[in-house]
Amino acid sequence: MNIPAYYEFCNRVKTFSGHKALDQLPQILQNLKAKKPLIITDKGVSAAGLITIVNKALGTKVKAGAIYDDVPPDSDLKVVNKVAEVYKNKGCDAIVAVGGGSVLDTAKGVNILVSENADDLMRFTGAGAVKRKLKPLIAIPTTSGTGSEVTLVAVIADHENSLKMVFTSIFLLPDAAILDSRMTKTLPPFLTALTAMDAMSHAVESYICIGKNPLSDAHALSAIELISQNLLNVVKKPKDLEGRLALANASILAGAAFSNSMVGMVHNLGHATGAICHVPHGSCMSIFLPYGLEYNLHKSEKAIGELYFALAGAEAYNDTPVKERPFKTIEFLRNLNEELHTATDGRHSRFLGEIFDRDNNPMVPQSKLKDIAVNAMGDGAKIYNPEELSLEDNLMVLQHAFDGTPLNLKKIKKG
Amino acid sequence: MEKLKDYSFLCQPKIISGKKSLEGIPLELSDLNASKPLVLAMNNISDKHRKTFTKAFGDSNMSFTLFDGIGQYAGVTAAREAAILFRERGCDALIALGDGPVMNIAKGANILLSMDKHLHKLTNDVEINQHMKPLVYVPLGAAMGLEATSKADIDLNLYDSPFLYPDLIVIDDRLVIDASVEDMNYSALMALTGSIESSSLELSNPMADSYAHASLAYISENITKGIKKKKKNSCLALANGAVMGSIAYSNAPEGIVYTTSKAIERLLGHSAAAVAGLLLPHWLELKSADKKPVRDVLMLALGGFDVYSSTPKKERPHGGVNLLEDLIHNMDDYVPLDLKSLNIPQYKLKEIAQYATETNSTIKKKDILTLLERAYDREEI
Amino acid sequence: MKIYEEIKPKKKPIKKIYVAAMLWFVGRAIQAAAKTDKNVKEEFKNLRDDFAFSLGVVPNGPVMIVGKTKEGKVKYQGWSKKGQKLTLEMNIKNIEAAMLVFTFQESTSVAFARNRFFVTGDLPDALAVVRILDLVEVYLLPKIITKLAVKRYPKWSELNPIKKYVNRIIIYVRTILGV
Repeated sequence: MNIPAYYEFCNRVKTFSGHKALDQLPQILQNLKAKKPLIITDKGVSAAGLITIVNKALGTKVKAGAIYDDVPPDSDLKVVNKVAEVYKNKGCDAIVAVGGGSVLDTAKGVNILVSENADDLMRFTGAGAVKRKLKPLIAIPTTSGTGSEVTLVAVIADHENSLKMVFTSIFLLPDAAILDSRMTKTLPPFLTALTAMDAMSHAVESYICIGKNPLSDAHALSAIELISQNLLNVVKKPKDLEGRLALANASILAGAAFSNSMVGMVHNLGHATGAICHVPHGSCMSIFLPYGLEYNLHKSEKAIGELYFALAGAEAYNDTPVKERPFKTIEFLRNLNEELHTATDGRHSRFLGEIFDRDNNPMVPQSKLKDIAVNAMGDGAKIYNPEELSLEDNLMVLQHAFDGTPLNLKKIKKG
Repeated sequence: MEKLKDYSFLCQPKIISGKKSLEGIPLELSDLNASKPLVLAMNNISDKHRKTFTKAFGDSNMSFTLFDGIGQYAGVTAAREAAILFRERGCDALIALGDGPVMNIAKGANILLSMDKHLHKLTNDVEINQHMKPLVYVPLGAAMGLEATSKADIDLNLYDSPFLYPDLIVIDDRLVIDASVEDMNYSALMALTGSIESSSLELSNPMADSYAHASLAYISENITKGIKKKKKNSCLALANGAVMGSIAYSNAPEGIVYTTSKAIERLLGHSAAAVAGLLLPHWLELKSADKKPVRDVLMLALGGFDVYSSTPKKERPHGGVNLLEDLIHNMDDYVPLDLKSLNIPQYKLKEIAQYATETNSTIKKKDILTLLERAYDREEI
Repeated sequence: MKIYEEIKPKKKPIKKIYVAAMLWFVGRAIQAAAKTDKNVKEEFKNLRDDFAFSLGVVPNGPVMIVGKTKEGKVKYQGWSKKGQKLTLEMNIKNIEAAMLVFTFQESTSVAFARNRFFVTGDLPDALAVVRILDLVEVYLLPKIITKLAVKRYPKWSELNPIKKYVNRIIIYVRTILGV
């Protein structure tokens, strides 16, 4: 295991994991000296009965100050402002966020406003603008997942002004994250696949990009192993609680990994595709993942080869000659996408050209590829990618990702 | 595929490691809303360390007070002295420039400072609440296992609170290269113990495993190059291994090897690290024989992907134990052959076991005794 | 009773001078390149009209500032943040980190990955500045050094060496003369 010349690592979110981990919620709140939490969630989570479980866990010891369950799928500034008002009006003293990435980001945004007693979130954008400890925040993820429960980033969209505000600060980290298998038990197979591939992309990119460090590596490998061993089972048998807990752990491990080592091309192109064509993040991640490895193969060959161990297991790794391992990794991920496509009755997309919306319209038309390529030039993940990415490089990859064809390795410009 | 157990895990400190990492301290402190640190160090801190540390603050607009009054057996008095100095100089953060006693005293001072107004004498039942000053730990390559944890050992009293964790650990390659060979060996042995005990089957969780894995990998790959050849990268890796091992360990209940080694240290004065190096393989052998399998991830961490995957599945648990024994063999000069060679009379074993269970009631006296007896006389095995 | 000293660490004037010189040179070179190279011109064209960024070391400098004037020209605007309306600040965390970057021991991307920088302002703008710096470094430095600073040495400069060398001369002259 190489020692990097320099690295930083921080994951100070206290993690609780178990089939009944939520039962510890009252004690966790008490340790944080919180008595009146605001529960932030969305309608989907509510409808699935998950808030009932949370309330039951709170029991008689703690009563929620209020519940806000109307967070939209895309975190929104107006909602953040609204929720902050609820927090203040109800005299809450802590936040419990129950949901996926959008809920968690919204909760972080709300926490900035209520802790700083501010009404303008814009003041806190950028890196390091939030400078002190915020109110207690407990994250209870219901997808496995974005890893937002352990990241120090929040992204809130100002839809009115077409802006995306990015907040980065160590103080945005939740105080605790609770992984309870009951919280993801009802996640439909299609979303299970998407969110798990999101976690997979975090772990894989974290392992091959230039910010890699020993702790992010160890977390990433664990995450990859857990996803590889459990994802298909859980997609086929959604009530597999052991599998659900494993995926929840994978998500948090992958989150801790990428939060510290950053991500690269897969997220770079994925963010841009999401911004221009509104494709769900997980779809973008699954599609771009094999391409990210192909593109960076000449720079990260050894690391990509090692990933095969975590993906396919020791025996398969041993049976594969060293030089073939990186290619096997890429093949494994492509096969995984295929299997997920089958297991979700075609809902899990394998390439950009086969993503359709509810009205069966293609979400990524060929004509938009240039816009995506241009948008990707402005995304920060680019910096951490092992190989340089120019506009032409983006277009090349996007075209292949659109058609579903592997990259021509000879055409990659090597730095 | 191992089933996941219920667990909770916390790694409070931010870790910074490598080239020019010391220079990052001023900005990190200002992120913690601090600007006037008290730096604690041993009374025999080298000029080189003093200079390197001071230069790192150059051009930062930050000055510091240096309390270099900590001796090998420093206790409450030193903690009080540091706390008083802290208040006098209007400091707002603590930096422990050193391992073992330095970090213990820094934590002790932090406990005292968190008590309002008067600096009471530190006692066992002190309530450690959350008003702790920011604490930075700067290792010098001789970590003894508690530094990165929530614990402090002051005057043979053990204080344990999540508020005692350091906020920041800065592992600078210029500072970890000068530890003595003895210290580096002992540091590695404590880290091995912490990592292996925290990731034993009864206690495993994937988060702690990540730290334990990294710790074991670094120690096994660097022990000879670091200690014998004093290569900068290797010393850095070993120091990282020590920190990661203790973080893994800080999330697990104290294990039998650690408890027993500490008991022998307290009762008879032998180095806990040396004894741990002796007991660890014995404990693993006992587990293997007892059909409580040693996890095969031990072999993965110590041997790497290729060694692990080319070993037949059934042989991996014991393969890991063998690799550990080979590793400890590299530290032979500092690990006793057996307990007998330490001149511990056989009748003392019962007393040691008794004392150990008193310090840690989760471990059965019978098990400790079995371990001690196995490690007593090498010739008898 | 022992007196424990308060230590006021010394400044690092030589390193500051070196970094200041590099920043001055790079700042003026950006100004020159914006007139000479079409890629740099294009990058600046895509930035907002009131774009002005600082690149420097905290807490005490040195700093360089480059921004767009009202007429749309790109100008090196000195070494003081006072009175400047900056839309982007790229701060290097300490003078030693700056030395690592300006002695090419750490490339710009590696320095970012190692958190040697922190950025206030729009991230896409920061990425544009990184691209501009990469382009300017190709002109300012011999290939052997530029390769340490950038992720991928641009093919165009190898395909069209005359353009590279001619522009290099022009940019150097413009940098020194400030025209």
